[in-house]
Formats: sequence, C-alpha cells, structure tokens
Amino acid sequence: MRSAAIFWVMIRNAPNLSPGSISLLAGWLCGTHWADNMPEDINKVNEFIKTLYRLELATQDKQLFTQLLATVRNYYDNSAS
Amino acid sequence: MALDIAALKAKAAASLAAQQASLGTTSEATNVPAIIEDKVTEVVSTEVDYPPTKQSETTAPVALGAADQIIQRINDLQAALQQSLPGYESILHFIHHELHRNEDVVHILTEDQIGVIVAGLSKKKNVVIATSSAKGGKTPAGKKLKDLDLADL
Repeated sequence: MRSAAIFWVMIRNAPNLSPGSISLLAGWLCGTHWADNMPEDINKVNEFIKTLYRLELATQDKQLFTQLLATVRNYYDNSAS
Repeated sequence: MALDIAALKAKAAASLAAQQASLGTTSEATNVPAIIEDKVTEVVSTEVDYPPTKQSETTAPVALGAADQIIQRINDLQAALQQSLPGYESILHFIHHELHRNEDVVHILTEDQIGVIVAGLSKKKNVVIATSSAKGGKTPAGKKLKDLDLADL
C-alpha cells in the first residue's frame, strides 16, 4: 500500500511523465527492477496496480487510473514478449 | 563619528607638557601632537564589527531532515548521471529506501526531481523512454482505454 501511495503522489506531481517513465516508476516502487524473474515481476506489477486501485485517491480519478493501468500493463507485457 | 581632533591634540599636548615639566625633560614636544594625531586618526578610521560575527554558528554542521536528505541525494543522482559517475545505483537504492521510510516527503518532490529519478531508472534498465502517449498503446481485447477496469488485469 505504501509503494502505491508513493507512486500515486508522484504521478500527480509529475503529470507530464511519459508512459515508459510511469512504468519504470511503478516497477521501481514495487521493487521489480531489482529482481531477475520477469514473470514474477509482472505479477508484482499487477498486484501493485490493484493496490493502487484500492486507494481512495485513485478511485476518484478513474480516467487517470485507467491510463496508468493500460500504460503499465502494456510496458510489462511488451517487456515479457 | 564626530571627534574634535584639535581639542584632543591640545589636551594631549598640555598633558605631555605637564608630565615633561614634572620630570624635567625637554624632548621634542612639537612632534608629539603629530604622533597623537596619527593615532587618533587610526582609531577613528578603524571599523569595529558589533556584534561580532560568530563563525561557529554559520559553519556548524546541521543534521539534515529526511526531506533534505532525499532532495540532496536526488541532486547527487543528477550530478552522477550528467558526469557518468559510478554509484548512481546506490543513490537510487537510498532514495527508494528513504521514500518508503518517509513517504510524506514525496509530496514535496517536483516534476524535475521525479524526472531525475526516472532518468536514473532508465539508465539502470538501459532503456530509452518513448515519447508516445498512453493513447497509442494496446488495450486488452480491443477495449477502449476508458473502458478498462480492474477485471482486465
């Protein structure tokens, strides 16, 4: 929950971040970039995004959330393929 | 400072003459006022700093707060990235660790500071950040972006 909260505030503070930057931040904050197992990383990111969705702040801005969802998912799906 | 130098000179000369008279000496009394004038001028022209500056207060080390530490490390990270210095990964690790310990600090981070972190991450991952927006990305099962929800995960 803490990582998701930090991520959310970062996204709000830096609205001009590119999708790749957003994905890097998401992966960094949930610790995936320091691990080697990529499928496990994707699961972690999924859990991370789900946690983000549960944040009250995130649910107040569903458009931004859905953009984040697609952005991060696409990034890691493409990285895995 | 308005000092009456002439009065001081006259008073000092009179005092010296009285002392010489009591001692019975006859030294070069005419030179004394000039000497005294020089001393008086020197005292008048000297700037005295009150209150004196306490160097220890301005140069003493001050313990940085969590926010200052993180911001300073972000600046260090920026310098390390610009000059291709080693050790930027440990700086990233420190920032990561401290942000989790002091999550409130994230509220004061600026867009530029967050950008420095992203730059460090992209170097670590050896990726080039694409400039395209999220609108151009693929969506699961051909859904529009605005229709995505938690079930699509």
